Amino acid sequence: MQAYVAIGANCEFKLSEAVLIYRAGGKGAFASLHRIKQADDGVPYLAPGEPLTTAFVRTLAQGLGAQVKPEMFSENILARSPDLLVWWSRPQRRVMFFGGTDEEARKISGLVFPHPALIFKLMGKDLFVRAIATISRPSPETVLKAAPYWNTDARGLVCAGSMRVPESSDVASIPGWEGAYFQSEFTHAAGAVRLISHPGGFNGLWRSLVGGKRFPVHCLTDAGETLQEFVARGSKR
Amino acid sequence: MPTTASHGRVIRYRSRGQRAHLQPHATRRPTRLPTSGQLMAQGAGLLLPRLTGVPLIHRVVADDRLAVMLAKSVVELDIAAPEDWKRAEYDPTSFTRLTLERWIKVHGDSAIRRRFLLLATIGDAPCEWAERDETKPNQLFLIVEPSEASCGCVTFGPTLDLLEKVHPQLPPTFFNLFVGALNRWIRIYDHRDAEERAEMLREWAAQEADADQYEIPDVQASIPPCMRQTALDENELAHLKDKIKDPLATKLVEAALALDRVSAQTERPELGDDIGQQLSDCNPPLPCLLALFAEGDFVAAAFDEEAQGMLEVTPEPNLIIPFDPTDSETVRDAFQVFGVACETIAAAGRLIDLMPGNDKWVI
Repeated sequence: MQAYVAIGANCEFKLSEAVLIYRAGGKGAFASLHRIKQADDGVPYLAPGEPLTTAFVRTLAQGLGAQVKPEMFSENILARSPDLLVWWSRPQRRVMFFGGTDEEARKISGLVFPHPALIFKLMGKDLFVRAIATISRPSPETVLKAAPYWNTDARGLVCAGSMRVPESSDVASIPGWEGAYFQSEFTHAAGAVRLISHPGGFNGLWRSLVGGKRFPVHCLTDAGETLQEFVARGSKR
Repeated sequence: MPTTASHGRVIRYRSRGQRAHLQPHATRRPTRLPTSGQLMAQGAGLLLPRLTGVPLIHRVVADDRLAVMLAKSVVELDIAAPEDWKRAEYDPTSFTRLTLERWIKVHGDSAIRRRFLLLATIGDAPCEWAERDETKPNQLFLIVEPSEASCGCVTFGPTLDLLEKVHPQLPPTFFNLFVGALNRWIRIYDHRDAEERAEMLREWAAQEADADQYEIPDVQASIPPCMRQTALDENELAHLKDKIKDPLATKLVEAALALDRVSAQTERPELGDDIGQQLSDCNPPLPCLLALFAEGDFVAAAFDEEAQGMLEVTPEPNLIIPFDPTDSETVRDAFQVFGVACETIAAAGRLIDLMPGNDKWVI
């Protein structure tokens, strides 16, 4: 009988196989898979090679995390892969906190504001946020807008700072990620990015929205990409 | 850094200015001539690349609180051997694994390995996909399940024929003792599972318009007639045992009784509703042993068909023993119960060794 211990996140990785890759300059490559054996003196050595199979590559990919535990999807999930989770949230009123050195912003910190519909993209622990001008579920062709928030760069990437991010990145963690985003302080603009279009500027817009019911979507600026592109581009611009 | 081991001789070139040291009696030769070592053939040239210095194990340690508590408990309870601490490279998880291996070894590992492919795991969830119960942060589980999704096999036919000659009621008595004892700890797939499968197929077929077109095996008709006898009760068997003259039949009956005694030494732990809830989405446990009457019989056919769907959903482990590493009494009980399970499986393995017609199923 074999014995195994798996308590918490602790685990042992035993050397079991080695992949040798042979290249012919630019003329392709092939790989062989070698089991690892142990000599009498304990030193590991490579056993004879065998051709690499797609089944092995699949197993390897699973070991690297390319495996998603079965999850029930709610209506707001837009895309899901082993590395990616994209969801959408309806326009709603939320409390916002402003910190940093901007006195004007700090005056309206902790108040309730209307927000546009938002698209969140989670890649590992990187959170990206975009806005949309519509209130219905977006389609792949929906043109995205820049999220009208500080600490969010031109790619939509959120500077997490001291944000308390959830441990997991699964469907069940979505409320935790949205909560973490809005419960942390917005402190400064992230790079040279035009977040909104409003005569009073960023502070002017949010000041005008205190206690408001609906976010003026005409104040959103184009992000220059569709939802399809946002999902497909990964973390690159 | 990988290096290459050479089974042949390695030619080493002297560095510039370094002269060969000649033996005093050797004839002086011009230095440009190759040495005999350089002239010797290099051997077969078939080399096994050695990975000297490459670590065999990497460990990820995120939170070893429970592993440390368990390691401490098993040392205090004399379940672990303190010298394993060094072998485990001072890692509590490895130490616990070595302790588990040691425990299995003293509870019949060699007999178990001959006939069963099993895996014992200590973890913090009762099965692979179950979420950890956060309300019980100290709860661990010792679980047993088939490894490699395969099971052992035993053929009863020749044994039942032999026992029937001794007494007509002995075949079902022996079968019930064997299967009953083992089923307390691990799942056996036998003719009753095949019958259940056939019954389910009959129910499905009955809902179809052309129900009479389906061929469903008649399991009852395929069961050996000797199995239709009533099994002997405990007293009857004790009375009969001393009268058996056939030495192999005597050994078989004694081993079956011993198996039953070992198995009944303790009870399986009761699992609470909370654990039942965690396992609610699981399939039934995978069988650890397939009990046939003859090779390729109707039980084997039913098993082969049913086995195709057994892994569609994560199966429940065969044995689940919950315990709390901070409570040494529960740790002792868990290892004791697990020890009885191991000894039962080992006794079954040794009994299969005695049963005629089972040489083929040695693993």
